[in-house]
Amino acid sequence: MFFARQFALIFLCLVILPIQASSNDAQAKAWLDRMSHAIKTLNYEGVFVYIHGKQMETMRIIHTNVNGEEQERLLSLAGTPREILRNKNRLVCILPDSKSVVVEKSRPKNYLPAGLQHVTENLKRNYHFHMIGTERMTGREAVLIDIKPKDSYRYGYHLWLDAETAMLLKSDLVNEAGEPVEQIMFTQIDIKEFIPTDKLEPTISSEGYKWYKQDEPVQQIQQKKSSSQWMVSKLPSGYMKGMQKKHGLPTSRMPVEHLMFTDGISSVSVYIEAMNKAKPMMKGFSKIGAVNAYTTVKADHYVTVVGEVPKAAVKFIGDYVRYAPKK
Amino acid sequence: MKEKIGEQISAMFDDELEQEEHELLMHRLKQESGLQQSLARYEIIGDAIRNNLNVAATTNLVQKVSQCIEREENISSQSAKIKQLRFLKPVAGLAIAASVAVMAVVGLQDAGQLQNPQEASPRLAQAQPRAYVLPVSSGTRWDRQQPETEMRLNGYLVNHSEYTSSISLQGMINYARIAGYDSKK
Repeated sequence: MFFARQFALIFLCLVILPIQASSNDAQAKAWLDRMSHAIKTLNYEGVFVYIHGKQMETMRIIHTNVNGEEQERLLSLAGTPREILRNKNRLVCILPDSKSVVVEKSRPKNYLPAGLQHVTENLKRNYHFHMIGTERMTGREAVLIDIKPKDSYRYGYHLWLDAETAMLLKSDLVNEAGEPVEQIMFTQIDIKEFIPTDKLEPTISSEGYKWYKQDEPVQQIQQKKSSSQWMVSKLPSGYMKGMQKKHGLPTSRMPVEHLMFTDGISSVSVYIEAMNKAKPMMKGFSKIGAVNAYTTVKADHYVTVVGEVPKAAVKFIGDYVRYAPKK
Repeated sequence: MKEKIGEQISAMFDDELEQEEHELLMHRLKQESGLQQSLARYEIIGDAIRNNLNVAATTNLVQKVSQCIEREENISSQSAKIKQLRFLKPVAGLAIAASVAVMAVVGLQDAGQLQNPQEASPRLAQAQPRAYVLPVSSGTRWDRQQPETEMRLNGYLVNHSEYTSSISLQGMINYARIAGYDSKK
């Protein structure tokens, strides 16, 4: 009898519980896939608050997807009315407080490295996924999912997804200790069949503003991967290179070398541009909300690592950037 | 006059009150007990917003914020032009701050009434409300406030967001950092 109980206990620990945990992981991951699809494909209009530290910003978002073509508009509702518009061709940031308009070319959508596109193993190696339960959020039933990082090179998430559509209703970005670094929370969301196009038009007149645009010739500059002289010799566990190329930026005169790395959830960009003594850049760490940046100088170039990742990750990657000229 | 004092107290908690006005307000607060009570109320509110909102309280806050925003938008929908928006800015900002503050208190009071287990989905257990403290982080702009550095970092952030929006779990919401970027704070 004693042995039977012991056997049952061991069986429970070694077989049943891992199966249940694995099933919970799989469910959580399936919800995340649904969420990712919902954010891109649904037509929705909502108001959310963006909280980081003592700051709280209130914003309206309008998103449409007509025949697979996404169009979005984001505007701040309190304080200076900043506005961001995005369609398949371009991203426009209208910033009245600096009287500037930054125009970026829209980028192709998928920069997931080939090894990460269909595989969840890499994510499992670096994160714990867990489905917690349900809660009411924004007046709707929501499924709560936890994503916990396994090291200090990425943030975790608590996500509340609409139980009906899988749309994201609330997101807490949390550090390794589980403390929130940023929160985004919808206070109102309407998921609609159709949203009139005039809702995607800017309300801010940008007359007299300074425009920062990419020059077309610079935009064409693309480097063959093999010709690049810059590399990152070591990466934190799970990060893989999504792309590397040289391109123009609206705020930089010279083309900038850009390398992007991701583990499938967290992403980091490395920007490398030649030093310009007339326009010096401060070295060291910078931070805005959950985004960390780290600037250092290598081979007479400014190397800046930017990402929605902890300070340890931008430092790690920045320190392993290497200049290796071809002989 | 009473409204103006309310605005000043609200501005003080948002760190937006000029030094001279701050000193005058402090002087008045020392002398008038009614104002001290107002200040105490704002302190509770500020504390609620910054530190002690658990999920249950936040849920209720969210619903009430939405009502406030609807009111806010009724005002701003009548003013599509930038000039009008600029005119409304201080009033609208205060309306949001004050309404959110009041709601935070109501939210805390109502927190215990939320989370009816009967409403839980049969498929999943009801999640336990979480309580935690928001750590103090940087403001709504880069903490390296050198114009050239800020400009380049902004350019990098916009570009990075555009390249990684398909990977990010939050999609376009990632741009909240850019839309929330206040070069004056």
